[in-house]
Amino acid sequence: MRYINLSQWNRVVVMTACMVLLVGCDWGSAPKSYDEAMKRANQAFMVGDMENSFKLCQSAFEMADKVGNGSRTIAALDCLADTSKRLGKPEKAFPAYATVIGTYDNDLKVFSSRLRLRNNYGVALYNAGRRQEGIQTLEDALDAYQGTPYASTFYAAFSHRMRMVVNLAHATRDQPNSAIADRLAGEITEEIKAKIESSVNGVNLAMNAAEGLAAVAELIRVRGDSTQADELAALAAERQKAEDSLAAVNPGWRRECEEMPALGANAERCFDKLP
Amino acid sequence: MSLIVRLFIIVLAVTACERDPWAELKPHQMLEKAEQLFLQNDPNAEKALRTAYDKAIRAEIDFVRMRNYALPLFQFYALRGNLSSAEPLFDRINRPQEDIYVYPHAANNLAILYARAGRIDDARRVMAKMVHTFEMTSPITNVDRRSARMAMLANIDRMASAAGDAELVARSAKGMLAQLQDLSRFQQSRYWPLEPGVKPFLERYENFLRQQGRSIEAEKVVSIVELIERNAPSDHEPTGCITQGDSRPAWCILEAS
Repeated sequence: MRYINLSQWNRVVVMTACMVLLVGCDWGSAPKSYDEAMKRANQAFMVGDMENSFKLCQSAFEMADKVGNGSRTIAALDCLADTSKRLGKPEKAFPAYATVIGTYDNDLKVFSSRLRLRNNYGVALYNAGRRQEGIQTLEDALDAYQGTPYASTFYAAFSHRMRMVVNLAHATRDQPNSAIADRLAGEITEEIKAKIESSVNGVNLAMNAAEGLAAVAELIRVRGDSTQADELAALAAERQKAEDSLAAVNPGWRRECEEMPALGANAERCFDKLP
Repeated sequence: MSLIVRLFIIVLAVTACERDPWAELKPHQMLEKAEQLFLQNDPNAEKALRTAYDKAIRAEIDFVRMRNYALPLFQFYALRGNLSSAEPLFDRINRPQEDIYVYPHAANNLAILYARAGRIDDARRVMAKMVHTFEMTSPITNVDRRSARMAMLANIDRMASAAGDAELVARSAKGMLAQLQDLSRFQQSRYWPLEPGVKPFLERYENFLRQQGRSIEAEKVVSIVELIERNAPSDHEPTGCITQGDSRPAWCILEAS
């Protein structure tokens, strides 16, 4: 039998004590509730500690998802998606995005972030090299909640959908004959034109139509129909003037970010764009 | 160890290993499942509705969404006349501190259960708040909700008459006839028969009015119903419950006896 001498015992005791202290401290710092996790995530965010903020958002997400609280799960996703992006690792939020869209879509639709989160997921997937998944996610986002006010009139829904049209048009420039490109050049273009026509006296109801139409016009040009592209570009330019004059009076109509007052004056969560 | 003890241990182990098929469902998924069972009158409906409700409580779902869980469970008990199980759920549907009922049909059903149980003061308290709700809220534009409001006011008239509450009788009868007139005006403008169950309900209400010696009001009901029927006769469907905006049992309205 091999005996451990006293100095070895001392080392073992000291190391064990250190480990207990470390583990104990870690346990002590782990949030005990969803509210605590979110509160501490916000505090970490406000002092610029994104790594810790992300971990706490993730912890809040897991707690909310475990019991199936949709509203909390979505709020935690918004938090961890934002922090992971600020950390330069948006892919860390992919599993959470998939969980929310797959499991809590009915809760998501009543959130003002519903289209922004879906859009940003699509953009992040695309940027991560998962291009087809990204395009599909963006198209699903464009079609989400169709037939309900969540996709038409509530909280700038049309305006937000136009941001997805722009992203889709950019994402499909190198596949101009794909099914989604066909759809953008046909059905979606008609939808935008009809909306412009029906909102001549209410430009605010169709903000960003100009940007959407201009992006589709460029896609159509890539597809080889420069005549239609020119017509749409002209219509987009004309509409842009009306949108600009409205935005000059009230820039809020064109906002692409949501302010997060609880996180400080400069904290915003924005619609991501594809170049 | 005897054979019986061994067998008992095996049975215990097998029982413990049996997986709860609903364990993995989130509250909203459980609710979806439970509502299907409720609609199909499945014997597991109560357990499923209770499970969904308990899961939602554990998940600390906010009050507004919590109503979605409490309402079907409340209705499950209310439609079976189970006051003791329904009553504790009512405050999860209509917040006591709110001035009006957001879900008056649940209040209607609770008032009827109170009246059946002889708790007249409780029934009157609920009915008074229902009448206040109807007086304070704007006219309903949805046609089946018009029918539901009318039916609830008729129920209050019947229960308040039984309780000898003249003021509630006057307010509810006035509201009921106004609602019926409104329904008639709406239905005259298009082919739109009375909702299933509404015509026989109104016939029973008319009989009640005659028994009360209120023949003028009874005649008004008859003439308005005739007007609607001339334009769009009701189908001879079996009498279903009158519902508030949805055919699911969670929206079914009980009738005062």
